[in-house]
Order: sequence, then C-alpha cells, then structure tokens
Amino acid sequence: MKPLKYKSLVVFVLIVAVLTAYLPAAAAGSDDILSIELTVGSEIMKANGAVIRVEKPHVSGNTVYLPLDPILECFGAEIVYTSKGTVEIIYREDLIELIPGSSEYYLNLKKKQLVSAVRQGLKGLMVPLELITENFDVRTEYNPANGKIQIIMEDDGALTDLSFLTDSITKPAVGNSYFNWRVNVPSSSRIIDISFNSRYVCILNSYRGIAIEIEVLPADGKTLEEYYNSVIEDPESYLYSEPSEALLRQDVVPAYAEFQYTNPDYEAVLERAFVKDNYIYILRLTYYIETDPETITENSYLMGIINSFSLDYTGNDRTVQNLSTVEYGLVKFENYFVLDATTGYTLWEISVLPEWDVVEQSFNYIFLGTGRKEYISIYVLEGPSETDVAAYGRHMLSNYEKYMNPGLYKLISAEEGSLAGYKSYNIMYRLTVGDSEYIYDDRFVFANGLMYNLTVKAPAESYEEKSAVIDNLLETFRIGDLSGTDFKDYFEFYNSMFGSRRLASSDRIVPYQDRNYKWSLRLPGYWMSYASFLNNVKAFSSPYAHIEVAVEAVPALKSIENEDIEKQFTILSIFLDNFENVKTVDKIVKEKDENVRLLVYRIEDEEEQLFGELKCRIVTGNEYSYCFMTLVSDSSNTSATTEEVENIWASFTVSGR
Amino acid sequence: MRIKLKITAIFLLLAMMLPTITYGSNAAKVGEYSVTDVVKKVSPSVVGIIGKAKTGDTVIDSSADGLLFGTGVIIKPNGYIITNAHVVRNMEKIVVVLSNSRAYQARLKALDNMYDLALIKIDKGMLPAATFGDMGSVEVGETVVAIGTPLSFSLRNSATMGIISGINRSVDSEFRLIQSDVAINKGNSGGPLVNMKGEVIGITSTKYMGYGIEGMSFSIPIDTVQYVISHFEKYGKVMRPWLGVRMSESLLATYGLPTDEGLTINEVVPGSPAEKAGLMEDDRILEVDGVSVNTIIDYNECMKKYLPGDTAQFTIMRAGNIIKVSVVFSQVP
Repeated sequence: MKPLKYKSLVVFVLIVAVLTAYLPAAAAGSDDILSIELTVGSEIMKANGAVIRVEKPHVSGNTVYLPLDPILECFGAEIVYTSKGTVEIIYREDLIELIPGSSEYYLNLKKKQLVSAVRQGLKGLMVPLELITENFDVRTEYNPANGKIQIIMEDDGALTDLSFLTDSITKPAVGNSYFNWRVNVPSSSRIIDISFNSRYVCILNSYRGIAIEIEVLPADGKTLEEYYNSVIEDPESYLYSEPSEALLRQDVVPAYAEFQYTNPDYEAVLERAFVKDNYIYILRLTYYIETDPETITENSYLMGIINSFSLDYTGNDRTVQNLSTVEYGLVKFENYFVLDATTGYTLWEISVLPEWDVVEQSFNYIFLGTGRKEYISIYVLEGPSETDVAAYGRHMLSNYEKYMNPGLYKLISAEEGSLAGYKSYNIMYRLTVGDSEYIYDDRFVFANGLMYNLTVKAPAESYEEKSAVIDNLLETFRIGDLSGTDFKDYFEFYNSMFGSRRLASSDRIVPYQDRNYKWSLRLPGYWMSYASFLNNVKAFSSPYAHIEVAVEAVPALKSIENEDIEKQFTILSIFLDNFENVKTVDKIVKEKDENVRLLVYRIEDEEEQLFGELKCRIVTGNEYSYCFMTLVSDSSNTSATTEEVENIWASFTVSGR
Repeated sequence: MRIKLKITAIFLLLAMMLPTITYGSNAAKVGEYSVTDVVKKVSPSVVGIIGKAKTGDTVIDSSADGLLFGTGVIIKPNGYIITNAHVVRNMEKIVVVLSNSRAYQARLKALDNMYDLALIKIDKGMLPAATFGDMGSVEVGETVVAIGTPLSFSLRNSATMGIISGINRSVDSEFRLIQSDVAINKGNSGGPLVNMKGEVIGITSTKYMGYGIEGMSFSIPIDTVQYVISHFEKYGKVMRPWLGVRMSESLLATYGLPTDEGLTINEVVPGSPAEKAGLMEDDRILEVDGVSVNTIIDYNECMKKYLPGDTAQFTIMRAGNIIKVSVVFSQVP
C-alpha cells in the first residue's frame, strides 16, 4: 500500500504544480496597498510580490541606505536628474530636491536635514531610509537581525472626494492649509470663485441666500487696531458703504474687528477682520436676501458660521475641504487665452510665491508680485521681423544704452541664455528709482511666432539672498504649445483692439493721423501705439525707454486759461488723482507760433514707483482742444529722449484751422 | 492500478485543457487573441480622463456643468499616460480614473497641438502599461478594437470593433493617420486603437470627426505617438526642425495620384534657414537626404528624423536644373 500512496501523492503534487504554474502571480495586497520588501546586501526587491533587481541596500554606521529610483518608481513619483546636479522628486503636492553628497535637502523650497548624506550609487542615488519615512506617507520597518526592510504604503493617493470637479463642497468646513484659516459652511454650498493663489475664496449657498468670502491681504505691518481705524476713517474705500455697527474685539481669541453694513446692492453684510503673521484675514458674510445686517446678528445659524472661523488649520483634517492651491511651496498662474465658447489656449504659465498677487494686468501683459518694487512681469507681443532672438536682444541693449540715464542705469550683464526650453537673450541691469536701487532681469524669447518679454524686478539690497528663489520661479516658466493652430492670427487681431503694437515694421519716422479728431504727428516706427477704449485718446510709448506720449481731444474750450483746465481732460485728471505730483510750471507760452498752456508736474510716487516729469501742452483748434502729454521718467531722462519727445511735439499738427 | 490510471487520466485531461483556461502572455504564443481577450488585456491600461473646464471668463460647454472628458493610455508603470492634446488642453483640474474605478489627480507634463498629443502623469506606481505595436505590420483589412469613453463618463472603457480601412491617410492634417471604421464618439479621443495581438497601433483622435461621415474614424499612428513621446521625455516638447518656407504640393499629389514633382516653395521667410541656405521661391524640393518628398505629409514624416541644428541636403529643381543645397535647420520661432 505504501508505494502506491507515495506514487499517487507524487502525481497529485505534479498536477497541482502544473495547474498553479499557469495562475497569475497573486498580489501581496489589494490594489491600494503597496508593500515593498528589501534585504540589506540583496539585489532582490519585491513590490506586491513582483521581483525587481535593484542596487543592494547597505548599512553605513547606523544608516540604512536604499536605492531611490526603483522605490519611487513603485510609488509612482517623478524623478528628475537636473542639469545642475541635483535630483528633484515630484510626488503629489511635494517637491523634494536632493543634493548628492549632502545631508541637506529641500522640501517645497524649505531646507531640511537628514542624519546622513545622500550618496551616488552605481545605478542611481542611495538614500537613507529616513528620507522615505519622513517624506512619504508610508510605514517603514527595519529588522537589523535579518536585514529586512519593509515599506508599506496604505494610501496610494486615490481621490475619495471628486466634488471639486463640480465645485461643490461636501465637507462641513473649508480651509486653507497654507494660510491656516478654516470656517464652517452650510451643506450644499458651492465654490464660485477662487483666486490662483487661493487668497480669495467665494462660497455660495443659494438655499440659504448667503455668500461667504474669505480674503487674505498683506498687513504691511498694520495692527488690528490700525486696520480698524483705517476702515472707520475711510469706510468707502474698504466697505463701499458706511457701517451701521463697528466693533473692535481685542478681548477674544482670535481678536477681530467687525463691521455691519448694507452694501451698494442693498444686501446685508457682516464682515470681520483678523490680523496674524503679517496678513489681514477678511471674513465677509453677505445675506443677500436681506438688507438689514441685524438679520445676520439675530440669526444664530449664520452667527455660528461667523464664529467658527479660526486661524489654526494646517491641513490633515478629514472634516475640512482644503482649498489651498499651493503646490511645492508655489502657486501656478496660467495665462489662459479664451478664443471663443469652446476654445482656449495657454499662452504661458509660471509658478510664484503664494504671497504674490496680480499687481497689474491687461490684455497682453501681467505683473505678478508683492507690488511695484518686487515682481515678475510678462509681456506677449506680436513677433518682430527678426527671427534671431540674440540679434533682437542686442538691438534692445544698444537702445537701452542710448536712452537710459547713465546716472541711474548700469548694465550688469547681457548674454544669450535659455528660458522655458527656448533660446533667450538676457539683459540684467541696475536702476535707481527714487532713492532706491533695483535689479532688473530682462529676458526675451521668441515662441509661437510671438515675442515673450519676461522681466524680474527686485530691490538690489536683497537681490542676492532672493536670487535662488527667483531662479526657481523662472525655471517654472512654461510657454504653451500653439503649433498647428491659427492662434497667432487671433492674437494679432485681439492685440490690435486691446493691446499694443509697433507703429511700423521699420524704425524710420512715420506719420500717425487721427482723422476723427483732426490731428497728426510723426514718431519713430519702433514706438508702440496702445488701443484705447476712449476714442478721443491715443497713447504711444517707446519700447527702449520709459517715455510716453498721449493726445486727448475734447470739444473746443472757450479758453485755455481756465483755472480748472486739468479737469477738462479725463486722462490728465485721472493721472493726477492717482500719482503723487507737484505742479512746477503753469503758464502760457508761445510755441510753434501759437499760444500754448504749458503745465509741468514733478511725479514722485514711491508706491507706484514712478519718478519723472509730466509735461502737458494744451492747444485749441476749430472744433477741438488738445492736451498733448509727455511723460519722461528719471531713468530715461537723457538728451536723446528729450530730443525724441520734443521732435514728436514739434510734429504735432492740428488740421482744419 | 485502477487508481493510478484514474490519476493519470485526470492529469492528461487537465494538460489538454490548459491552453483554453490560460490567457495573457501564454496565449500570445499560440497566435492572436479573441476580441474578448484583447479587451481584457488592454482595458487595464486604458483610463478615463475627466476634468473641470478652464474658463477664463467664458464657460466652456455649460450644458455639461463645465466638465470635459476623454480617454488615455498608460504608457509606463509609474503613471505616465498619453492622450490627445485637445482632451486635456482646456482642463483645469485633470482627474484620471483607472479601469478599477480608482481616481487620481493628474498633472499635464507636455502637450503638442500639431500632433494632438499630450502626456499627463499620475502619482501611482505598479500600473499595467500598454504594449505598443509596430506600424510596419499594420495592414488594411485587419481587425482592430477601440477602447474609450464614448459619450458619457459612465460609459468609460467601452470597446468597439472594426477594420483598418487605410493607412497613409490625411484629413485636414499634415500628418499620416490610420483610417478605420470603428465606431467612436467624442470621449473616445485619446484612447487606443488596438490590434488583435493586444498591441496599441494608434491613438484615436476625434479632432477629425468634423468630417462627419459614418464609418470613418482616424487615429494617430503608433510610430508618430512614439516619436512624440520620445521628444516629450527628452525635451519636454516636440523639437521641430524649422526650414522657414511656405510650400505647396502638386495638384496630382493633392488628388493622391502618383507624382515626382516635389514641393514648390511659395515663400521664403527672411532670416530663415532656407534663406541662409539660398533656397528661393519657385524652387521645387524633390528630395531631403535622398528621400523623395512629393506631398506635405512626405515632408513632415521625413522631418521627424531631424532636430533643430541638424543639417540636411535638399535636392531641388530650379529653372530646369537639379541642384543640391545644404540646409541647417533651426528651432521654430
């Protein structure tokens, strides 16, 4: 009996072996759990049972070193070996930058420290186990007795809440983990607006008739009390209304200033302001089905929302929907050009610091930064006739040298480079504006048949310490792909209506005529003309210097000697209202054989960073009176620019007299 | 003895059954798959892509609550996915849904409008990457399957079957396309066209659906897809060599008739590589480095071999004479 049993057993085992040889390898865990096993001294790594050959993990001192690339491949992280010798890891919202041979590394631009340095192995980087444990959402175990290392990832980042696709809010609260605020929201609320840097959020709940806005503004050193006083002194500027109630509560935590008012749309509003870490936080609840703000204060549910606002949210709270748009320590700004209801194109995108905001924006340019003293500006212009950006850049440089004030301008460097994968020409210079010095870093790139001009401006005294951050931002600049599209034609069309364009393809002097308002002048062809929404105003500027010319025509004035003549011209009066100025000359002079009212203003506006001279010449024709304005900034105050603007004035002619 | 025979018989029976109960790589050894097998093999590599439409100040397709969707193909186990450019170009937040219904946030890595291809990335590893086929072995008449997300996201990973109707097709396109009669709809864009070995031979693009004739759909051939992917990986974009001319093909070429007339230069851009090389209006380009070019497609397919900065010898006809001109390509301005 025994021999038969043995043989049947062998056959049985053979059958099972044959059958199981065709079964697919069973996973060690389910789809969402990743289990990685390594052993010190062994080139075998198992990931959910699949065998992968890797560089052998080893122990050095007390540090266990693991091969980085194959582990991160299993995580699904992105690894980039940069040209500057560092290694970047992009994984979910984090950007990690490793420096081979160093125990320092950067997580979302912030410096961190490992116990031991990252090493260059034979096939890639070898990293301390600590790096994996500290920066990825995994459990790690190391058994020194048998050298086994296990890495378990239980959360593979799968999204459980896709409500953001429809902007609906499914959690009882929303927050911003970067700016640390959170507030309860009613169910069935929707996000209807969020700025690129998530510093402004607007949530609507149409069932309850309320809108909740949260705004994060730079405090610029202001205390809560100072902010409160500012609002009381000038409520129109802050609230667009007079408050019916104003409170300063410094006896509570967090302290706040509260304003109750009816807005210009006759809606009840309760607004609270908080100050923390050099930010002012505005929480604004608009009860748009009511007019009297007391209907908010008497509503315990709405007051519950207001009182739920806090400034201690740092993320990782399942009851809070995180609205922060910060990724890798930066926020992305995308210049998305909408052509029609179904088509749009990305012209460019860049990532900037979350503290930055839109300083100024128009059809074909944008300034992103903290203000006029620190920003990145990006202009998109119609492509020039040159195809070589270096030749174009050198031409720009020669004109900077000609038109910039040598007492205020100093060239630092001019060279060919690259930007966003395209050849660029870079001009860096120092410029004195007012009492301070600034560094300007001008970059010119041709792409998509267009010219991209990117300029970084920063105070000279702090430029060196900020240069690493600025370099990081410039590296995030991307130009959108417009190949195979007619976008260039669309852009030129829209630019002619809303943007600016060269007067002529050549640099020679060309005539410009306004037949409607019966005037003409002559300017160099390289000057730019600006589209204006006001038919009676035409504006021009030089691309090589900070000089501008504008002509505004109004129905003929009875006299150019009016005391309030400035108010007769819209552009002039708006300019004087918005820029700090002092009138230095106001007289009638004889120029070009006619009486001219000459007004000269010294402009010194630190906040707007404009220092220079505005000269207005007012003349009258048969039907219209004209204000011919020239603005020359100090940085461009040279004999060449003076001659250029005077020549333009000399060519200005009123027809039909 | 009886028991021994029984066990042996069972063993032999099972051994005979094995080819019919196995699938995957073992079945490839015995020839092509059934349609069911193809779908089972490839479907895990096919993803649905859904995203919120970018708005600027305009709502795109407000009837769909501002949501756009399409299809993609996993090309690497660590989360790289290829799809059409027009699928993701207008998406603000891109979400990828795998065949097991798990969803992940994606980011756009590279995009090319001319080839209508885009590369996106999810942070998820150990994914089943699709296998690419060889364009050289694609034949008119062979059976193909398209997998995608036809009309609604709830229909994702739907499969339709048809045949290859033509290769070397062009529809308002300057590049070669595969024509087939598989039924596709808008959301199929970015999805795979698969042969009966379970290999991806094309990426479906409904960009060309405007031609609206039933039974005609077009896919970007896999060799073009691979070319674009390699550029995305190396350069972050497609590095096109630029000559700097406007040219046209002969009338015979336009009608798809055989010709060796070449391409006529209608305009030379000032400052371009063409001007620097001495090419002139009315020159006819006959060959590039010995390769005949008689259609715009021929020229564009030929240009895939070059990068900006490369040199090529152009054989041109000028005033009845054949001359050779060396051109150094530059980057598209």
